[in-house]
Amino acid sequence: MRHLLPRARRGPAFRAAALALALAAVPAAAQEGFGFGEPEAEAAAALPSAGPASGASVGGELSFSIDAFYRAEDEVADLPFEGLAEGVLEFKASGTKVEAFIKLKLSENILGESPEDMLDEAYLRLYLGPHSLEGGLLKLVWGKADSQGPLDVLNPFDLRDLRITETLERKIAEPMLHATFALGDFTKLELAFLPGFEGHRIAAEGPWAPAQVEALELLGIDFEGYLPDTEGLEYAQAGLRFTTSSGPVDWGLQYFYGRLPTPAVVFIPPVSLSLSYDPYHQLGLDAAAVFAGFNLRAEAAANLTEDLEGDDPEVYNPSLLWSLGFDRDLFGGINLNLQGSGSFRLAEEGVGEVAYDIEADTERTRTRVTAILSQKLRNETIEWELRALYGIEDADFYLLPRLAFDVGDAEIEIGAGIFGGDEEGELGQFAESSWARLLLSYEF
Amino acid sequence: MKRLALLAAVLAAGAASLGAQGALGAEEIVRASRDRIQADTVSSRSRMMIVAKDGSATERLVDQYSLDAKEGKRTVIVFQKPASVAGTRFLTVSNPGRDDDRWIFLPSLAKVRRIAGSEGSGSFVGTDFSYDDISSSDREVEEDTHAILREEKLEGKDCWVIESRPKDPSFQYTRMVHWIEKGSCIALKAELYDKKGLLKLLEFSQFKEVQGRITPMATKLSNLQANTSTSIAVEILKYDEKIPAGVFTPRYLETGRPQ
Repeated sequence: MRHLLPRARRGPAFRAAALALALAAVPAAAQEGFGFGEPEAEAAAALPSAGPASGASVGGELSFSIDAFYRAEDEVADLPFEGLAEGVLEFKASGTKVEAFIKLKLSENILGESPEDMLDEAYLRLYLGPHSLEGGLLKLVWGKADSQGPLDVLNPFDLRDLRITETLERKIAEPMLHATFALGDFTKLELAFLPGFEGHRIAAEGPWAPAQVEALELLGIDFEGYLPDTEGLEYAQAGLRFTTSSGPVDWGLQYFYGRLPTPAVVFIPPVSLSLSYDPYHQLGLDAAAVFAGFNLRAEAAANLTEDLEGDDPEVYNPSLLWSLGFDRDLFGGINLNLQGSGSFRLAEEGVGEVAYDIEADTERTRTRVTAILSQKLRNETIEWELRALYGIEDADFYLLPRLAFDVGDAEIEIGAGIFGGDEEGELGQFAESSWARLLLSYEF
Repeated sequence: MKRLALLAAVLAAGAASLGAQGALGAEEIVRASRDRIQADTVSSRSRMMIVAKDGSATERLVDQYSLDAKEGKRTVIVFQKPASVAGTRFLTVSNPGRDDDRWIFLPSLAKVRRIAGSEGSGSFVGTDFSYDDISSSDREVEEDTHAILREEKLEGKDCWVIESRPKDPSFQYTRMVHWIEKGSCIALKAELYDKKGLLKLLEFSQFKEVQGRITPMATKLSNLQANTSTSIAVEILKYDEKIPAGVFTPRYLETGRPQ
């Protein structure tokens, strides 16, 4: 599979590995005294005067999966199978007023095809009294929504494998500075600065390549070659976020200036193609509260692009975005998590005046519902989950049933992903990529 | 403090003392048993052993910090092991006059979420303890009617055997029977019944004086209907140790570091 946007900034994999190993080998200085420390420090912690919680630790996960893809036209014997061993290594060290974290991802695909992806996260966090400053390759979550809410703008997503549905796993760590100013026990102000920009990563070919990208490839157009160079101050991004609690409600406000992670693709046949990432300002607010056993979450945002009149065919229109969701225990430990999210395009009058308008022939609204039904059984050693994504406008869906068993500290999981509905829809187009999986994993 | 509350509270439930009690009613005995351990803060590290029906065991290492502040109780629970739950942190803030505030940090979400309390009868993070069991020492005495069933010896100790019946019929137990040692008012054992009969057996052992407070360092809860059990062994317990105020904040849940 060829990937869009491999970035030079990640550097050679061996540098990351060497850094991680060096980090793990360095005995951390004593941290300000509190608590019992890492489990390895239990003996010391038993002393009445104990408190310093410091040191270095290594953790990670090893997994092996076998995946089968379902294609209607294939005989059973011809169905594609894929076996993949993946490892994750995490190195963490803490010292006086500082923590360091490195996470490496290892798999045959990463090592063979995109070694720059090996360094998944790497950052330092400095503690400055009640405040903190982080710098490095970071994944940050902004907003209250459980998955991909409109306020979660700092990291692009890796969409090259739609079997991955967890938001954090999909996120691509970005180089950034992140300062947190504590304004009380339950109030804080965050400032994030990203010196560069990266858009969503989209598969150019293979089972997860969107139809539009595949169409360009079929015309012999090298999609990647048209992507703009996004290094430099012109692509710098920054955001400010304020969060607090008022009685039973957590709420927040944020402002962000950056680039929309989905490229504006202007294609004038036969071969005129331009791609750009539109700058935009975002104003957003969110809230979370508990009411009658419901965990409620809401987000709303306005994305203001440079096409406020809606008459520039090469720039996305401004839009309003929203997310509303809740989760609640129903009965017998069954939990329902329901989230709706969507967008509403503004300045609609100017859309489609020319044939190559990037928003011509597209829906003004985009609405998706995500429902997750789950239950943990037998002391949480067995868990089943049914996740369903439904696109209202496209009338398409993605169903993900999953059953997991704990075997000691390891886990066996069987699951599947079934796409359906409108074959031209955002989800339905992947109907030929429905899959089933057996996964063995162990976190250590 | 309810539900997402103290592991130490479970232990405290087994460590009350009446001092010089006279002829007491069942309610006074239960109250004295629950109220005995007084501390501004409690810090503990406990090892939980969950034994499944087939005898296989899984282990969890849990730290807990609680503060009895003027504004109400605050409790933080931190899961240290195994790796699959390590870094999961809960914060509960009691509010006089309204429901407790609760937040959870899950490393897989990388953010703090406000949550409702789980169902009282629901399992506390996969153990045989329900949320009601965990908060049992904070259960108001007035929520049950109490009666002394008999007096008998348990492991050579003179005990009252007290039956407590919940006034709320929807409570997960139909009745609870406690063996409370006379003199010290230490609860040694409890039987918990549901509509089907005896459901759980709670046993306290390895009593140790910690900073002047007699505390059971081991607790075992057996689910006799499911044939499973959970044992809690307290490895470290400190009363009245200064805990930084920053521990009882959502910020601590995110970073695991008091600021």
